[in-house]
Order: sequence, then structure tokens, then C-alpha cells
Amino acid sequence: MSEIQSMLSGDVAEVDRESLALDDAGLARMYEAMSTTRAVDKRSARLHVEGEIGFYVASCGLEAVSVGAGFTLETPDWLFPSHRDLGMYLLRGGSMRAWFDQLFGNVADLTKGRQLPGHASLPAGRFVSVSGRVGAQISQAAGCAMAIKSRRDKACVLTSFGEAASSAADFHAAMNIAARFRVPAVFVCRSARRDIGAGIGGAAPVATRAKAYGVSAARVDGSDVLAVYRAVSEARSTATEGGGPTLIEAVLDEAALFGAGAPAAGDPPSADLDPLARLREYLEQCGIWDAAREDELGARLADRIDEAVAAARAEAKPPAHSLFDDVYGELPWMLQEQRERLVSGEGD
Amino acid sequence: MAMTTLAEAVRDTLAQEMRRDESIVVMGHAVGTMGGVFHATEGLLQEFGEDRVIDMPLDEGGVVGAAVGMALYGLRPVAEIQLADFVYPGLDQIISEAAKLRYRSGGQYRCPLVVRIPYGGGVGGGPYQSQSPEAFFTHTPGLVVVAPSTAADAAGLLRTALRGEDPVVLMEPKALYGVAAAAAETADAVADDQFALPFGVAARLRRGDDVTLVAYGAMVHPAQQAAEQAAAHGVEVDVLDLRTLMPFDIGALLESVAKTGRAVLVQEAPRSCGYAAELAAVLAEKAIFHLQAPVLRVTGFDTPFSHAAEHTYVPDSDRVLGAIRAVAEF
Repeated sequence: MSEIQSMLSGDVAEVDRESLALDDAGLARMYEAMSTTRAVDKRSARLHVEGEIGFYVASCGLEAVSVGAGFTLETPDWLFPSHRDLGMYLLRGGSMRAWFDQLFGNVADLTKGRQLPGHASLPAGRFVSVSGRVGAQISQAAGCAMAIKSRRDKACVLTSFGEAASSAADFHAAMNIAARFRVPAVFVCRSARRDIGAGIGGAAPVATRAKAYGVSAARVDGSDVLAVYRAVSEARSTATEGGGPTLIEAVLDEAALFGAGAPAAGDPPSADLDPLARLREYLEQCGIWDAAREDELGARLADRIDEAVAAARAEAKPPAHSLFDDVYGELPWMLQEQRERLVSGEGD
Repeated sequence: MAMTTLAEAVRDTLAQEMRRDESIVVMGHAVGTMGGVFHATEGLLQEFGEDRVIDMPLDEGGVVGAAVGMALYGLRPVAEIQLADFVYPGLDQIISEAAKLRYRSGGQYRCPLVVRIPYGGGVGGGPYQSQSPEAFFTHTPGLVVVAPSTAADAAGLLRTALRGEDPVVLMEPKALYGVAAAAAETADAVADDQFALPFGVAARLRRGDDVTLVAYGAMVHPAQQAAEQAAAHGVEVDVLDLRTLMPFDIGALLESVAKTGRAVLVQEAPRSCGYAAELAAVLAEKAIFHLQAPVLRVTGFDTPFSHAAEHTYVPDSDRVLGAIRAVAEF
């Protein structure tokens, strides 16, 4: 199997800046996006643990994947995300306020409290509504990429998912379709670093299976944001230039990957596996970041998050009769009837 | 006189609408070069090219999943499932995704796609080419489910589906694909590129004051035959062809039963928890004071479909007539 690509080795001289289209300000923005993602995620997980919101799947430790991949996208690109893509949501223009409104399922929530916390939806950012069905988005992404190709639009589709979804039928359908029609799609899979055959995925690494379908693939260090960014950037260029689909397998420490899913998560992985610590070390070595900026960012994020949470918490729940909206374009007779009986208190 | 089959009506309507709206694409296994297993997409590849008439790998989950992604992007995909019996791998994307995208996003997304599903017996297909799975779809909030019984209705319902905003499951009675309707109005309707039938409106095929007979899809024809036979016995039957199963025409159903006080419901699918059970429940809730006899169902049996026993399984006019006479004489 191909090597696992990395860039952040701890030695500043080894980092090939030439291969990245990122200036100092861009790198600082990337770090800020990762820090924002972690701070919002930690607060979200805490809201669940403290019983204020429903079940929440945390993504602490996965920031290099969501931000590194999300950073490569251009405005017309489409995203078919999973429920651990908070970083992409924020990069595509999602606001903290809208995020916490969704977590509380309040009257301001644009998804009207219909889904579990973290299942966001952001049409303006071409960030498709997250499904509760693991893997369902992968074949949809392939179809969306077919549409982009048939319309000759200059865009690509990025979809992300965890290793478990690579066993689902949707993954195989998507690989088959993507290769068959050479669509402009980038598949990003978060996998655990382990011995072959030992895990919850298939016997072979996801990248190997993708290649067998005719989808280009590469493996990258999933806690190295620069490696993720470089690999996904190349895949995006290939896709938009007609070179077909690519799967990027972001390999993560098993504890970081599965620990992140625990609702009580919040403790970052150890420093050598922590995507934030690794980028910060590099930025400090380059003189792009320092302790003063770190403190200023931390304080600013805490204030903004406190404000967003307080505002979201203060909103009322959606009215009960909104239950019946958006099932169909128009309310059919049986829903009108059920709605009237609920509102009038008439009963069944 | 022009003769138009149901398969031709589907094909002609697709072609007319694809000329009107370039966002419509047809996709499925063998819909292009082969023209579809029942020839309902014949010639479309030649006219519209492979960007819009797409031969997909044989995987219904992938076909519908890709169609959902296309619909989100702004296309209007028409996904053909070769046979209703093969739709189950696609149910996940239909039920969990297409039907729920508008709802779960709070109305921010919509998923206007049409899934065409040839269903039912009558072609010697055995257990895997004969099923009638409409109840899976009618039990799923967010889906419109239609089942035409004629070429003209297929054209009119398909056109409405292609101009609407909801995901639509079009149950096409495969036994009727090759049936040519000689009536001039059928050919006219199919030739009319603006002919559309609204969803939720049943057709009253025959007027009678004694018994209400409700059917849809392929079962409309044995129902009509049975109604004619009943008339010979002095029983006048009000025949409703539902056309739309969800949301169905509650007004027509209740109006008819208020007049007749007797109802027979016909479906080809297995009996228990089938679509007719919903109609019976609605009559029990809303028409109990009009009813003068038990509501009877004429249905397939609670068995898988059998190749050898096909004609025993599928309701025919004799079975429907038996039920009509039973409620009339109650």
C-alpha cells in the first residue's frame, strides 16, 4: 500500500512550503479555523453532557481533516458532509449562532429542530443537509458530480465519511459510479491507523479498495492539516480539470478517531497526534504565531461562543404545529386534518 | 385511428418534457442503448444523448442515491427501476433521503425526482418480477405515490410529477405496458404536450348507487369488468380509479360511500397491512354511519408471488364480482 503522506514532521526545514498555495496569512487563517472548530465542538459536547441538548457526536481531534479539506474548496463546489464536519460548516459560511440554534433545535433553527444536534444544513454554502444514515451521502455525491460534469460546470463535489461507511453499499455504489463516469468528485475518508484486517473497515485499506474500482487514491496523515490540504487540493484540481475522482484516506490514531465520537469527548489527543498542536508548533517556528496571538484568539472565541450559546438558549422551541411543515410542497388533506386536531386539542 | 400503449405514453411524455426542460434526465439500468426493459425509454438516447439518458450500473441503491444527488444540484432525474421487485436496495435512498430531505432541512432543500417502478403480475414473472410494493411508499411521509391504469393517465400523472417539487413514485402496471388504447382521446392526450392530471384526484369510471368499488393500476380493469357483470345482476356499481394513492382523493371516496353505503376495495398486493387497509380504516373512521355492510377487500394473498399460481393470486373480475354481490346482498 502507498505510504502515508505527511508534512509536519516537527522540523521546520522539512516542510515543503512551495507545494502549498498558502501564504503566512492563509496559514494563520487555517489555524484560526481549526481552533474555532475545536472550541465550538468542545462547547457543543459540553452542552450535551450537561443535558442541555440531545445526542451530539463530537469531532475533537479531527480538525485537520475537516479544515484541511474544507480549505481547498471554491465557492461553486458542493459538499456532502457527515456529522463530524463542523470545520467545513464554519468554512462554508455557517455561523456559530446558526450552529447553536440547530443544537438547541429552537425556533431560530433553520432546520426547525427536526434533526439531532450537529446535523446541519447550509444551502448558501452548498453544504448538503447531513443525514442520520451513515454513508447515504456518498452515492449522492457521485450523482451530484455526474450532474456537474454533464452541465460542464467548473466545480467539484467533496464528500466526507468515516471508515465504517466504507463497508456500506453506498460507498461501493459511489466508487463504481465515480470511476465509470470519471466524475469531478473528491472522497475524504477518516480511517484508523492499524494493522491490516484488524479494524471495523474491510480487510484492505479504503484507499486500496478505491483504486480497485478505478478511483485514484492517496493516504495522508489525518492529524497533519498541511498534508490533508495538499492532497485534497491536488485531488480538487484533478477533478475540476477532467481528471476524474480521487479518494483521500486520512489516517488517524485509533483512539483519536473513535474517542472523538464519544459524546463526552473534549480532551484533545496527545500533542504528537493533536492537529492543532502540530500546526501551531510549525507556525511558531515560522514566526507566524505566538503565545500572545494564541491568548487573544482563545479569549475572542470564548466570548463569541458564550454569546451564541446564550442567544440560542434563550430562543423558544418551534411551535408544535410546525411539525407538519415541509413534508410536502403543499399540505395534503391528511396532514391538514392532523394539524387541526393537534392545534385544537381535539385529539385523535 | 392512432393506437397508444402505456409504454409509449411514458416514452412520449418523457420526450416531450425533456424537450421543454433540459434539467430532466432519465437514468437506470439499460434505459439508454436497450431503451428500457419494457421499451418505455426507447429512442430517448438517440434524441437526447448520453448526458441526459444515462445507462447506470445495475445497483438500485446507487441509481437512486445518484438521482438524489442530481436532484439536489438542480436536475430533475427520472430513475427507472427495472422491476418493482428490485427496488428494495433503493428503498433506503427513497425512504431515508429523497422523502426526508425537505423535512429534515426545514424546507431548505427539495428533492424533485421521479422513480418509475414497473409493478404487478400478469407477465409470468414469478416471485421476483411480479410484486406490488406500493404500501412501502404510501407509508412513507414525503412521497407522492401514483398508479395509472391507462396510457393517458400515465402521461398525465408523469407530466405533473415532472413539473412538481415532491419526490414521486410512479407505479406502472407492467401487465398494461403493451395494451393499446384505441380510444381517440387517449392518443390525443398522449400527443398533447400540456396534458396533465392533478395529483389526488380520482376518476369515476362508472356511476352507480349500490356499491362503491375502489381500484388503482392494473386492478382497475377487472374492477370495471366486474361492475359490468354486476349490472347484469341488477347491482349498480360506482367505480373509482384512485390514480393517486398518496395523497388520495378522500372527497370522492366519502361522497361515493355516503351514497352507496357499501364498499369493495381491490388491490393486487398481499392483503395484510396493504394499501386497501388504509382505505378501510378511513371508511371506519369517517363513514361508519353510512355503511350498511362490512367493507370488503379483494387482494392478493399473504404469500410470496407464485409462478405457477399467478392467475390464482392476482384478483380477477370473478373475485371482485363475488365481493360486490356479498356486500350488495348483506
